[in-house]
Amino acid sequence: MSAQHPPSAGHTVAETAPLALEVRDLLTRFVTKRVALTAVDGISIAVRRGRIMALVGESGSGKSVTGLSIMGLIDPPGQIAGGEVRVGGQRFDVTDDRQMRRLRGNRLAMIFQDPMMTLNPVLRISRQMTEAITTHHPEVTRAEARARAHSALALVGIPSPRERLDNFPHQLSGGMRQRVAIATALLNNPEVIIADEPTTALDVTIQSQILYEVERVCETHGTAFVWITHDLSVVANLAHDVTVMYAGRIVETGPVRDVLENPLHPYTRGLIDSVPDIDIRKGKLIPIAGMTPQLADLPQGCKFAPRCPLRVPECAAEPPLVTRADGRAVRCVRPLDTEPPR
Amino acid sequence: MTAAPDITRPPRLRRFAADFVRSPIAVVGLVIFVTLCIMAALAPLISPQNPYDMMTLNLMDSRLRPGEVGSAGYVHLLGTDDQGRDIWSAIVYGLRISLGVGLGAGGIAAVIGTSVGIFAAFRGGMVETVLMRLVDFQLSFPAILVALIMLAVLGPGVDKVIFALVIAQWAYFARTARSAALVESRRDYIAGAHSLGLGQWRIIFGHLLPNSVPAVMVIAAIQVANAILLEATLSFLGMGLPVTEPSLGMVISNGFQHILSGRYWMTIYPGIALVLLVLSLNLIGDRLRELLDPRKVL
Amino acid sequence: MTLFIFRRVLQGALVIFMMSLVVFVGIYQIGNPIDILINPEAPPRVRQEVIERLGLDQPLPTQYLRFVLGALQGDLGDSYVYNVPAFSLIAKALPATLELAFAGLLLAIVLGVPLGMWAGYRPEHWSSKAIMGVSILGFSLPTFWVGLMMIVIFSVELRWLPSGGRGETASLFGIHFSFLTWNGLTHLLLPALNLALFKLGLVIRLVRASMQEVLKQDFIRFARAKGLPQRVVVGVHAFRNILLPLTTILGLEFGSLVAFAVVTETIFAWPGMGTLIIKSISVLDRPVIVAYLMMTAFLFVIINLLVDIAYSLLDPRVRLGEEQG
Repeated sequence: MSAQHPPSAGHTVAETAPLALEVRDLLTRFVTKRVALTAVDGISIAVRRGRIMALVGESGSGKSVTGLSIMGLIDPPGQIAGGEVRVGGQRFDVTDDRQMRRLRGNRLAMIFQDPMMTLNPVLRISRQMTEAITTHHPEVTRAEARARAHSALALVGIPSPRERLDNFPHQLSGGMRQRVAIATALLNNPEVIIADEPTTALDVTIQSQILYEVERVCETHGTAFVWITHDLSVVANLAHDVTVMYAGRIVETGPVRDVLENPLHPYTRGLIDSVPDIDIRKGKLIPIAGMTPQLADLPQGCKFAPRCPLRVPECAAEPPLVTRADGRAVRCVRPLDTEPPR
Repeated sequence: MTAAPDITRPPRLRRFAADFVRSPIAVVGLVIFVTLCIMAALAPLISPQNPYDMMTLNLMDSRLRPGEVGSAGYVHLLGTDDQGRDIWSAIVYGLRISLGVGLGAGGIAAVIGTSVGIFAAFRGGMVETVLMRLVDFQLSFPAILVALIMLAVLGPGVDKVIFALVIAQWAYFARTARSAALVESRRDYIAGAHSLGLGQWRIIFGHLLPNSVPAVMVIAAIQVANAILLEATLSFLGMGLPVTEPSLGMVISNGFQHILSGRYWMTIYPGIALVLLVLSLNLIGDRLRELLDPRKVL
Repeated sequence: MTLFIFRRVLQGALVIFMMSLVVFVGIYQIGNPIDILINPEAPPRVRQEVIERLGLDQPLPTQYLRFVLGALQGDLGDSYVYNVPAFSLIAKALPATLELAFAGLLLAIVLGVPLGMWAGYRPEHWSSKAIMGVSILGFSLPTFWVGLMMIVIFSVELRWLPSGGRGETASLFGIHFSFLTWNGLTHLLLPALNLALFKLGLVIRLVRASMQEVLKQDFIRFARAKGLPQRVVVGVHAFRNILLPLTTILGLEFGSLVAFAVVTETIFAWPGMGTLIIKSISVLDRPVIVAYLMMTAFLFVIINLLVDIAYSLLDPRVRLGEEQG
């Protein structure tokens, strides 16, 4: 419980708020007898309290694996090979399951993509919610846990939560189930929630309702979110900051407005141009040429170079992620705001 | 109809064989099975006596322990039974009958069951419903019960045992073949072939049958093993083969009477032979399933 | 739910009717009961009298009708050998067989479920591979031979357990059971183990496969994301989902245990239906064979019905789906 951080009044999105989550040099590999693939290659993210960090990229970019790695939920043959996670300034060893287990669902929660699949079909909602409380707080009585589950359901806008507690998952719609999942994640008032495309499987109306609830929770509770998505319109409407991933690496990160209006990396530009949403950019709709590279045969040098329309000979060496004076960071030898050489 | 792109097809059989031998335990199974088959085929050459030729039996030699030398001057490796029959020879000859009955029954059941299954999948409609209801009805009764009833009706005899085993097993093949063929028959091109008036036989032999073969092979290995076990069990119960055709089950059953008096060799060694035979087939079947039908578990 | 049960009962009645046809026509082919019943030297007049009394001179459909009418009143004819109603013979032997089959099923579950769960949870671990090896062995070992070996080892050599019979029984609800007395329990152990071995491999494989299937599901990941200890994730979340396929299969396999008890009963001289049927087949005691088969068919129908009900009780999707219409 993060009772030591009572929610402050008004907006807590100030850029000076304390760091809720800090991930440094996260490295996740999938090791089989024949090959070792690096799915997450040295990712570092920092999210302040009450802020929403979007993690975007095409499928296969490693964004979901990043989310699971932060939770310590990587199953063999995958393994977390390095990096550290700090929650509320406290350091945790991602590879130590006992440490991570105390963290999971308690100070660090997660919501998954498909609400139809995330709830156990043969257990009642009440059981699935209260166990999240009692496993971390054995002193809480069943009645008390149930009361807390009840108020969490009410918080995410579920009508008649008392009846819902006694339901089985199949009696709820997809949107309701995702609300249950969010309510479950909120039960222990976590400092950080990692959300892996939680609205992708829902229709648009329900999606916007849920985004609204999330925004409210974020503001009133000061919860930090890592919002994994490929949907830039969600990013534009919801997130404060955005991190763009490509082939297991961060290629660009910065405040949402800056990144979406003035992308620095050609890949970010490509993503924005391929979105059919007039709110973000008017006119043309250009898909990115080529395919997401396979982890098994990544190109040498800049991983995006083979698909990049602005590729230059220097791209043969992989550029580092450079943090600039304005706080934005980009991994490109020639960011888009630099003058082309003559 | 365009011809199948044969050129691009890799040498499937060779690749399959290479995959198969990657499992050491399956190779062990195959080696044991082949060895037992060779032993059965060469039975008269590798056994010192024909155990069911009464002329060669000598009551003086009865109940010899393993390793003792009998009146004919050779060593009874695994001992003799109460009629002076060499156990090793009885095993080798019994193996012959067990294998013959198992392969025969399994093979016939496979042909009949697969035909019925594919026919049902091909015809669909009422025919399919009726046939599959029949299959379900039969499968709801255990094979041993079905075989027991059949033998009670038919009486003893090699042909009757094989017949009873076929009756007990064909439904497994029918169910498997149908579901495999069904996957294929739902494909668009089969419907297309139908509407083109393409020969029925061409659809059955060209598409449905080849597609069912892998799944049928998997259960064939396992059902032959089951047929051998079932035959042995029936013979043990005195319901199977006539005394003139002693399979491993009967050899074991004969030794049973002496087990309480400590003459264990008459029962244990034939039992080990039976276990090796069935186990080797199951190991092969298990590997086939891993390679050909990875979704199925049982 | 009532409608559902009603439909199932109707289906069951149909199965029993079909079974009665098959059995009657099939068994009608077996031998000539007159040869068994009457001294071959008896005068033709006596012979004729018996044939008429049994209705054997009637055409087959008439005989079948007689049989069905009798069966509906619980009369399946008298045993040619014991000269008592065949039904009561079977009914007397039934509890022993059911007790044995239940004990075997119980042992198969108690041994097989934990082993299968472990093998599905850690499929790459050496012990899981060993368990899978054991399961293949379980398929491959002839039940009757294993039974013999058990007798050799535990009864003859070690003298720990009796080699046959039911031992002392005690009465519960007017039926005699072995498991109620220590002596009876020692008699039950070996045959039950023998019968359990027959299903052990199946249980292990089934549980392992379901376990692997369930562990891949998102809700397992979500359960872990809640910080639940592995023992709750596996023991509650995964296990509760395995229970469904397990109940179905085990219910159906119970029937095959009853059938396979024929073998185990013969080896261990267990006085159940199996021993009775083997004896009856060898002397062509037609009414007893028919009674056994009808009883088995009836049993199977009941089991199927119970499995369906258990399934709908365990699966909330089915249970509540019915309630809501």
